[in-house]
Amino acid sequence: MIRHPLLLAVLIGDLCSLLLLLAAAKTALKTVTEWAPDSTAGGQIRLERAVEIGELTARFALAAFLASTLVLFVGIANVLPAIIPGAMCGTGVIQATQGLGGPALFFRFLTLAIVYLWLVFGKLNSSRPESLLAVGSARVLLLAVPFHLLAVSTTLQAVWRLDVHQPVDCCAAVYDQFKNLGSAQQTAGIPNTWWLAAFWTLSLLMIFSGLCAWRTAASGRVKVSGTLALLALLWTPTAALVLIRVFAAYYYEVLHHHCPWCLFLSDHKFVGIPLFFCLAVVVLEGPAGFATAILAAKYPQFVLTAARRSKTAALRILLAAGGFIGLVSLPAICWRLQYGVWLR
Amino acid sequence: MQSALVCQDISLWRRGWDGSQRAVLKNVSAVFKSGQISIISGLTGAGKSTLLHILAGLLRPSQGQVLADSRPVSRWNTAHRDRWRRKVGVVFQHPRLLNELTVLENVILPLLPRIRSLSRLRRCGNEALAKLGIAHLAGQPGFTLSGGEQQRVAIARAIASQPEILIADEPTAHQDAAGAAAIMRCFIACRRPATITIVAAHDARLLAYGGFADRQFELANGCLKALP
Repeated sequence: MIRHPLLLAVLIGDLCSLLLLLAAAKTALKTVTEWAPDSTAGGQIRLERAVEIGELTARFALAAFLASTLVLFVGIANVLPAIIPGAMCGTGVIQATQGLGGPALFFRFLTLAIVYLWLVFGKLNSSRPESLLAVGSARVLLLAVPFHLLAVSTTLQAVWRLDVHQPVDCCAAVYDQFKNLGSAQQTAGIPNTWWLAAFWTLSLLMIFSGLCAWRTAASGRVKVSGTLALLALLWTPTAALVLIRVFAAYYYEVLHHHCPWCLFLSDHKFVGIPLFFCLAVVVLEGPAGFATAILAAKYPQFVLTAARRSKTAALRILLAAGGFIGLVSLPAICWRLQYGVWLR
Repeated sequence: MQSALVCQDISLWRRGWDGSQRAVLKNVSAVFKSGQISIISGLTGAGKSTLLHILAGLLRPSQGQVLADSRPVSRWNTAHRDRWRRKVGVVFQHPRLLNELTVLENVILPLLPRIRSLSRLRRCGNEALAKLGIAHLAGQPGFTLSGGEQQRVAIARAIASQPEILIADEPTAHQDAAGAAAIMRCFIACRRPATITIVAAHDARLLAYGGFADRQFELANGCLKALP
């Protein structure tokens, strides 16, 4: 382990967020088991007050966790490669964590996704004075706790195992994935051109579905939002895959350099930040729009607010998908116009 | 328009200096109707101010609820309760004026979120001051006023927005006979069919003033009972 201030900041942020989330989870657990909206007894009134404080605590937990995740991300992508021998980008840093860096980031993103859903629930709940969604909201928050624990513990282990004396070879990690040119042009046995076709098909379907969800009236929203959420969940990994396998070549100007982390380097103008931000928006907003549509169908009191939120989700998905497609296709088109060939 | 403000089985416990729980209010239930002035009397420390704070949405009870138009406003989350509180004008026991501001500025302060036009703000503020007979103090800073004048400014501040619910805590405590009469006249003038007025007082002048109170309650040992 190295006592780098950035890593210490991550661990302190994680610890703070964990403590705050556990405090909020205690109230959430009580809400799930004891919530009685028809009662005016002392226990219920105390619980109503505690729920408000718990929501605030969970928001602080989210802020601390988001901040520590961003610091960790910047550290992996831009700071630690200079310390770890042989590392040229985040791939080398992840390699130096001996297999724990990837899972740590995965659990972090999963926690953030669940807490984002909780935020959407909370915002919808606070649009009415009666706290109708208190129990549902508490359940979503409780769901985030095990993933948060996993994220924090895996990050701690990854930082602990970070070896700065053993050189890594991040280019080998990228290029060792394929034995010959043929295997470089396919992923999971499927040619990259097929993945590309799948990406464009899913993009068109998602944009069409997004436009439908944006324009649909409140009544028929569940089916359209469900389709959009499903397409968003299919589109995101496909888009990430074609970004790394196909479109990244136009940024790197090198063939078969299938590295996601190099996109975050200053050499490539930090283009990974807007690209992965767009992917995150799509994958978060899809389920959020669907969840609000379901809630609107279940609780008529939320019809208008939920329909507005669902429309916002559709609009955000459209903008993010449009932004992503623009960012990946523009360099490719420029390359084609300049050199007359595609990079493949 | 509020048809009634209802206290439903309200209790409030406070932790004493020795850590024990002390009941300030015990199962208080009452209905305060619109168009009426209700007086709550009781000895010092009986819990009148606490009850008024609960009715105004400034304090949450430990048990029970406050219903405004059959909606449990005391149990709403802070954002919604704060929005509802715009309908409530409160005269606190201590005037709590901002001393660096002028009297008129103090009065128009709670109107700022509701009224954009400065001329309208001034007009509303001056009208409220005129009702209390202190329009001549409008330009003076708060710290130059006497205790009685400060109290009248606080009342003007509460009535300036023409609240649907007017809650006053000992509004005549620092007043001479003329001042007390002016305040009572003002409260009677503010009594509209849509307004609920609740006054906590142990000032005998208020209790004895003919035609002032429509209903009287007495708070003793944390229990509220309606007087005939």
